[in-house]
Amino acid sequence: MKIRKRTMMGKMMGRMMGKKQIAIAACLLAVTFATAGCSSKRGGGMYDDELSADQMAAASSIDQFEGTGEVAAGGVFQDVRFDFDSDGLDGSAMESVRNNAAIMESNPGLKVEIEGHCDERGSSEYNLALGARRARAVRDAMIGLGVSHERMSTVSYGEELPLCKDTSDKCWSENRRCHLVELRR
Amino acid sequence: MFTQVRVVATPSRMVGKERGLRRFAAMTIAGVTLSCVCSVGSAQAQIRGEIVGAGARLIPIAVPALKRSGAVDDSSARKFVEVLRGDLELSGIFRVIDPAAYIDDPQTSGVTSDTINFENWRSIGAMTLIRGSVMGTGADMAVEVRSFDVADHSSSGGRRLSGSASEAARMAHRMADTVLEYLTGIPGPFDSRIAFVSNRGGHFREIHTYSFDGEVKKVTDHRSITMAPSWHPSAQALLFTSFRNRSPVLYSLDLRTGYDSRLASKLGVNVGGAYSPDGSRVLLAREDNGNTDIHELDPSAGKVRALTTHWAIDVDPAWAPDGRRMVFCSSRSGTPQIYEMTVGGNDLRRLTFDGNYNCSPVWSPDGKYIAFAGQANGRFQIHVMPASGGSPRRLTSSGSNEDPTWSPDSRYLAYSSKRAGTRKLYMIDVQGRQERQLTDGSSDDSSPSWSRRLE
Repeated sequence: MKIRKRTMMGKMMGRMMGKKQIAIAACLLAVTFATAGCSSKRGGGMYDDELSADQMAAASSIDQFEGTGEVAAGGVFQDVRFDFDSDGLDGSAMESVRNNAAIMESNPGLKVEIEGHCDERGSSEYNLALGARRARAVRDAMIGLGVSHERMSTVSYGEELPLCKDTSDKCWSENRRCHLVELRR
Repeated sequence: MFTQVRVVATPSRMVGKERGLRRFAAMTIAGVTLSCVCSVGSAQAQIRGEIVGAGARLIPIAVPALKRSGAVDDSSARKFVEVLRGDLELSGIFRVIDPAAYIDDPQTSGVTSDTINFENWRSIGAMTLIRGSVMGTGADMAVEVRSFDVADHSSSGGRRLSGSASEAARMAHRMADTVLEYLTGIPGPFDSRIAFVSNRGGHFREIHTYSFDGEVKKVTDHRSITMAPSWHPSAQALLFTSFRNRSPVLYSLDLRTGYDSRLASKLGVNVGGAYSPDGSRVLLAREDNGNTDIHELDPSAGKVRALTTHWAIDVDPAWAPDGRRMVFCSSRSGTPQIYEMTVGGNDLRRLTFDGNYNCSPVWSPDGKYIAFAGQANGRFQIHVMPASGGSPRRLTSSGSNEDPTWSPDSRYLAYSSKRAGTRKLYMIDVQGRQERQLTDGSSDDSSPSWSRRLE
């Protein structure tokens, strides 16, 4: 399976080194840019955490939005769906979780990022927190099914990256999801 | 970034009778409908206000062109009058009479109470007249404007503003704020900015600022998703959340230098940053292992502490103007509802009980009200309730409306509204009488945050 590259720099680096190193290089690049204030003017931060190299290299939804990634191929993982203002996993949500856990079980090297998403209704800040809970709920259920927590990270995009933008129940239900993105095999 | 404005404002109240307007103001403040005002003095017969919204009657005001002298930059002088008219219309208090109806030539008629032909303003229905002159010396201009009560020929005050001709719009905003002050005793809110999130000019969602002359500036270039801008009390810096580093990180942005810095970037959610009224501390919602709680951050000391530690979602913190209490949104009752507590985390009180989704609370700068977005019949509407307790009142009814933010004078709320396709910014007065659309076009505009007055 391909490793997705974030930037032109990443692609150039990719030709020069092994796949496993790309992720680390991407991370280093990002940190370097940020610190040097090259593309982004930035002062001294505090309470900083850095994302892992795997997270920086993943083809997550934000990359598709930013145009620097590729759409994850095929959809081996199923999106996990939720009710409005809920992070509860119902029967069909658990079916998706089981499907996803089975893929993890048969691909022991696989790591994933679990993205929590919401529909457009309600406070965007509340939805960011709700997306975090949804991602967490899926992660915990996967742990319950035997997947090691070390193979999963979570991120919330709240209502910021909808799959569709109509004002309809169908569209909203598609947007209330957890989307799994392969980090590294 | 913003131009450094060096408008020299020298409020010079004119001596004169303020009787008519002051009386008007007292009644407006008391919440008495403007129809009562019709009986005030001799102006009764001249009122031609139109009924808009819930029985609101607008004060007919005439704003003729400025009388020019010296080397006046004509377009700046015109801009001043256009912006002033626009603000007064936006106020929901005035109706600007169509300039085509004005009888006197602004360049040949007088500008003082003894030289103005008030009968010519009375006959077209004006209750208030804004009359002034502009003197120019090349790149600079000085504007002197007075507000007159047409019925009793008196001036309620005047103001002299000078600065670069390129700052005509800001001078006009200040004049508009002053006209509202003559009427109500409290300056208007138009010399301010609204920060908001928009995808205008492309695909990314960046922070922009809106001025009431319609100017929109892009102030971030994160080429990603940004969220939830919120002003520093100086109106010269903003907090916002950005996904630039693939995870929602809280940034502060200095608008004077254009530099931004990461303020909180713990893995997970960092959102809803809000400066305390004195600018020294920041409230934010922050995630720890999937659970989001309200935290207080002291940027100078580099300290952060949790104010809530509940298993439910706690977000949307907003300061009371005294800096001691706060409101926030929590799902601890099972649905998102609004709570109040001390910034120390004590004395918790639930404020909303109707409906299954009330969030985004904001405390008015005068301390009297709390506004929020509440869901009813599948849509969100802006509500206000007294901070001291009492039932919420719904202000909006069209479309779905979220993200309320108070004007600096506590008279208005701006918010985002989805009516067709994308969201736009709107404003409404706190009585819910006059709703105005602020932004248009095809872009998606959301999360407005209204600054304090710029001066």
